[in-house]
Amino acid sequence: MKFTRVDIEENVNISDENPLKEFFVLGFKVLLVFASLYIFIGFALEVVLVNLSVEHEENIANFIWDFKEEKSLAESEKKVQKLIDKLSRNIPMNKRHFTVHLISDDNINAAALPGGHILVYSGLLKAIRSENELAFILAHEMGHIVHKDSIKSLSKGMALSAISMFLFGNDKSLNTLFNGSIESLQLKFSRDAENNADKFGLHLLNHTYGHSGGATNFFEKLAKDNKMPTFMYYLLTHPSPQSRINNINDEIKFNNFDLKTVKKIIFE
Amino acid sequence: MLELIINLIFLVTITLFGYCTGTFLEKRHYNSIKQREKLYYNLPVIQVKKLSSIDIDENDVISSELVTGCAVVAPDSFKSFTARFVNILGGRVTSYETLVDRARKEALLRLKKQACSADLIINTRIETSDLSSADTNGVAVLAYGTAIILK
Repeated sequence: MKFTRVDIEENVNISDENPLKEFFVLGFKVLLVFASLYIFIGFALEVVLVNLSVEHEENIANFIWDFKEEKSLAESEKKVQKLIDKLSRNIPMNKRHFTVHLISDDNINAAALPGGHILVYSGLLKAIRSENELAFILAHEMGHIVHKDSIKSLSKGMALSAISMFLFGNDKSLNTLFNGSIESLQLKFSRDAENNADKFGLHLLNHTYGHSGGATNFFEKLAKDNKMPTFMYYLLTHPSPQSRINNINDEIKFNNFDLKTVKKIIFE
Repeated sequence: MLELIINLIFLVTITLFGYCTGTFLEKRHYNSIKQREKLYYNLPVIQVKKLSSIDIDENDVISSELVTGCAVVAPDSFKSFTARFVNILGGRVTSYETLVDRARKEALLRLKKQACSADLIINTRIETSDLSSADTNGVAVLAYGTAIILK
């Protein structure tokens, strides 16, 4: 047997495709898979959430959270709780019990958690100049709870993390990338939720006090203090104070609510 | 939001950089392989086990020796990024094909270099293994055979 060397010019073990083109085609397909999974899971979650009863929600929330009462703020907390009770009596067909928890913090902020828990920072109380202002803010947070906004965004966030972990394994950079890119879509959702909570708060305020005075006072103060340029608000979860003021005033005009001057009080 | 942008820029830069350097290095490696293959054009590397099957008398053999050639090649960031997509969708990982091909050719060339004065190399085997850990991955190829020197 004689050994004859045969030259093979082209390399049979390599594919001919352009790697860049392949990258983009594959990337697009993966994006489609990811998007359809997200939409599907989001849809499924919405269906479940709508049917979650109030007792279930409160039970789960009480199971997860354990609120510690701060002794120094106990008095103020009682006063704010009375205000909340006054407001919740005016919510039609209300089965929820709202509880307020004061947090000793100089930040001007308030938050709503599932189960009817409303957190208020002491900094916010110090900045309040009338009962109506505080009532509007509390009513806004109650609106979030009634609309189940935080449940929806929490569960959507969890669905997102689960999907991206499934798709990308433990690769941290790809996970963070896709989590973040959906985040900017979720911000819009959050802004719609904020505007709806503002509407709810306004109607509740008007129903409780008979007029809508004091609703925009707080935001006017915020708008004056904050010098952030408008486009930065696109990136934040809350709409800019000025746009909230505009929306609230539009709603007042639309519903022909009265505006009376409010009594000035100062909270602890 | 800022974190997202930074992550994105980082990822894109690394991937593009990987694509550029990866393509350049690959071309250079293939050229070198082609040139060196011409050097060892006449050295047969075959996988027969018995010399009698290729009509060579065993008494003609002066010496026989184990020769090995080993090469390790790693993918660039662009290649591994594309491969991750294929891990989800399935199909051929064409980005890794050149890696394995280069590593095998390189291993065989090194085998031939080690046995340069031999007449032929028989019983050649190629073993491919992957080196993958959390951060790095690559392909290690070992080619080994018996170099025969005839009278």
